[in-house]
Amino acid sequence: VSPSSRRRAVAALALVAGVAGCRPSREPVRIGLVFPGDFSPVTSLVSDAVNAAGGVRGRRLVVVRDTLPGADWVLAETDIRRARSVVALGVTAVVGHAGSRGSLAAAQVYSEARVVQVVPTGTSRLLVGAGGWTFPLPPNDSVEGHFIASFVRERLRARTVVVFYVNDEYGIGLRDGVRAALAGTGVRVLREVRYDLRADLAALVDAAVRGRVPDAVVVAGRGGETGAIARRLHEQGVPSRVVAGDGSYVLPELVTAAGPGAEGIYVVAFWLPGAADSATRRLEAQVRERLGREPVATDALIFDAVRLLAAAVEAVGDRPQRIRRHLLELGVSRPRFRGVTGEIGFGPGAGPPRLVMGVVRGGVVLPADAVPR
Amino acid sequence: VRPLSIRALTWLLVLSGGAVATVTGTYAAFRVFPVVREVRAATTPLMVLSSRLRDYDAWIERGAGLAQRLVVAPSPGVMDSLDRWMDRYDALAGALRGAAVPDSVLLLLAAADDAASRFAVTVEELHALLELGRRAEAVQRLVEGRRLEAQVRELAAEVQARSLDRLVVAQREVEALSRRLLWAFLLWVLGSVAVMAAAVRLVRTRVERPLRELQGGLERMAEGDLAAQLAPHADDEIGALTRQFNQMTAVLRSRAETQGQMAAASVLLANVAHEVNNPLMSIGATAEGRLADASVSGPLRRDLEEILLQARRASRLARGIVRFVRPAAAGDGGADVNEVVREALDLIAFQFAADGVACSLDLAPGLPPAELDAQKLEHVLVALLTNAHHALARSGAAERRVTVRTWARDGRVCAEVRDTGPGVPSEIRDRLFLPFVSSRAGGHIGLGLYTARLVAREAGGDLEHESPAEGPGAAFVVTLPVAPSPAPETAPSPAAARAPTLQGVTVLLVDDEPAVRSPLARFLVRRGATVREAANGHEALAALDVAGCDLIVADLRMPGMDGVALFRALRERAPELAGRTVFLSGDVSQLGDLQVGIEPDRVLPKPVELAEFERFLLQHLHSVP
Repeated sequence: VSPSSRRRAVAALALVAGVAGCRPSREPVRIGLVFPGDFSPVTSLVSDAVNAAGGVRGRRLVVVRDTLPGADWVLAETDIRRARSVVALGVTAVVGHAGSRGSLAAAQVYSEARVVQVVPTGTSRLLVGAGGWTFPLPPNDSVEGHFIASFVRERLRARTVVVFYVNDEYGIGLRDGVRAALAGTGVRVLREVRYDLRADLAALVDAAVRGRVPDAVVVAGRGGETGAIARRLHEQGVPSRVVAGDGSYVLPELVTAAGPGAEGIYVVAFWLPGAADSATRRLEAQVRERLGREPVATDALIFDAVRLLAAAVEAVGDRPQRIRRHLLELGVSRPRFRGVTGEIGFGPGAGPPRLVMGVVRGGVVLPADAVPR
Repeated sequence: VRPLSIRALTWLLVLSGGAVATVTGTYAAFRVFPVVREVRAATTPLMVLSSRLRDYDAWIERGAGLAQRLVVAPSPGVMDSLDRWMDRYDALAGALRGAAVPDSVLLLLAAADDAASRFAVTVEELHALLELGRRAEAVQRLVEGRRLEAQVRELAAEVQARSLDRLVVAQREVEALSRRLLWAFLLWVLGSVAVMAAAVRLVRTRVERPLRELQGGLERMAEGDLAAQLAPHADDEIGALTRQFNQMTAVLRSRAETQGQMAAASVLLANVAHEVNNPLMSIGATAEGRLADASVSGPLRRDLEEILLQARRASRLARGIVRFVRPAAAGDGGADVNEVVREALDLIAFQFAADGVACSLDLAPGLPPAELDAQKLEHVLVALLTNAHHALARSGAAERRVTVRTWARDGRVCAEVRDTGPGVPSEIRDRLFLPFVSSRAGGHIGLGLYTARLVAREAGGDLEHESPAEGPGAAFVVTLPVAPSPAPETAPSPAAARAPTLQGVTVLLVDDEPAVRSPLARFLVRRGATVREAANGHEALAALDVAGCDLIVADLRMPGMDGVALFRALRERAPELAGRTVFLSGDVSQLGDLQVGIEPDRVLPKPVELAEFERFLLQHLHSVP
């Protein structure tokens, strides 16, 4: 079959599909979720509420998971496979993936499939330009880097810093953000240490603090590694304060891995429970009721991402191009979307959502401002 | 089926040419651009990827080498070099991850990137372990690093190979496209040639051949073949031209026949006029001669005066007819408009009288001469007067009047012919001056006004219809430019001043008509001349053999030897006598044809009044040296 014949056949099928599509579809609106861990109780909070109110344009809202077995969330290759599997389910949009590296690797798949990807936790600035179909909810690593640097310099009054960063887009991006923010402030970066999930963190920590103990250790990584680093520092009797990026705010991994070194770890969050607004209180109550645990930022971000996409479909229908345009207009020609994590917008000048510095106290993360130094 | 018009055919050919050009370009664009775009989209990322993979390959190879040097011979310099070199990983990995990558190599590249990332961390660990003095573990990291290096390079090679495969596919697509385009263009060229051949045949059949035939017909017509008729090829514009050509030749043929008849009639009319002139001359001269006798009185004198009056009237008509029908010669212009009006009325007045049409003149005195030959102006005025007569003759108007008015204004001389007839019919008013347009029945050709306006315009003037839009009456105004002022007349010759009479002059009078010759002879004798008579040229020559004379007056038409033959003979025998010869003639038109060198001013048209005859002789006598 020649390409032109194929194109004609596709055009004819599209025409038939278009004619058929003129009738209201009774198919449910499917939103994919690609994220480690079980967040179905969180997403069902949204879908249940939407469906109870009549659904999205009269259609049921369903959140589906990718079908790839296995628990590997480190390799980019795996994220690509997960993206392909969830696209094959016929989703209208996707919430995922975990972190910048996986989100970035999957972005090309979603771009080619014309599926909107809302990234709940990725901060790499590369995400914004990744194919045009990817919308990160958090502020980028540059913003977070400045936030951490300001905290280290002004709150902790640190003069020397060692930066541990996971060797992916998230870690490198946050490292760059911190490095840029500290440049010229008088705070010296003694060492920048890359690592990954399989690295010998103890050896890396030992080598990093050998000779001169830094005032603070900044970790741009996930909760488990950050906890391991804090534990090693604690074991070595190094008094450095540990300040971690948002990727570390994963409970209980962070606290478990840190063990006795967990107390006092500062960690950046895009959301913390305990805020006074009614939406936050409602989410907290629902998470406690259904999941039997305290809500974390990831809960809130996934919750907001699913609600955001449901509202977009309600506003403009389930055509991917229209959803994409709708998201780009938020904060520009349309009002920002009001979520529990803040007001969400993606256009130029839409502005970053709020950032909060938390501190581990008694196994939970509390707002640092609310805790005595 | 009605064939396409030439205009439509021309547009069709032009639009077809444009369509062929547009379709060719559009076809090429639609066939080429998508493939080019597709190939570019497929190959450009591969080229970028290939270039970046080479950098990656070089980075990991050098990184592994530095790590090995560090393990083998640790030194701060090597350590710094390794740190700086490993820092390049961020840029290399970022560039790879930002690139648009074909789906076929996406997983391979991700795997290579994962391995490279692990390699970078392994080197970081190696570095740390060496700092901590844990050399054995550092060596293990080195081995691990070498393994990762091999893995990355292997994956990169695989990516390169797949990229190359894709490039080969792209090249095959381009080759297939070029083959398809070649065939398409060949077919297109063949189709275009066929269409062009059909177009050429169509143009040749529908345009070139009919035009060639039309051109040939026109050339034949220009050579005088008014019988040329062409067969129309199609019911189109050229077919219409062909039919109009046929119609034109038919009209011209009809006109030529009419003109031939008119020319014959003119000759006949001239001959008749000539024959009438002689008796009129005789009658007039006899009556005038008798009236010169004082003893004639009472009823006889009145009768003679009436005879003279009617003879003169008939003479003017006959002279007018001869003047009118003779072929127009190229004149010098300077027509006396009032005089020409009178002469034209002389010709046509008898028709006015017969149909009860009154004629009035309103001629401005002292008009400057008009820039037009008098004979041509007379033709124009006769045409206008004839039209007025016809309009009035068929009308039931209570007053039938023609008014001729002349005036001069703004360097122009104007003559208006106005009648009280029914006016110009509205249906022909806009076409009044076109050829073959006439309101008259009976096969009238309808060239009078057309020719009259043509004559007026050739002279720099015009002929216009100035009748009211509604109501009876019609007026036509001839406007002519004023002729340049004539040169001042020369002073009378000394001879004329010297001999005011014919006293003592010997005149040889040569005319075959005794009725003409005798009254003239008696008149000349009464004026003191000595007159000798001859009936023709031979007798005149014989008389001249006997005795000479001062002046010879000869008729042009005579049996035996006519006036022209006599003049030729005199020019040979006695040129001085030829110079003293003048002529009388009822028809001077033949002089132009004879080409005998007789100046027109030496010919006096018959009939002539005796006083005018005397003036003519005296003028000529004293002009002779």
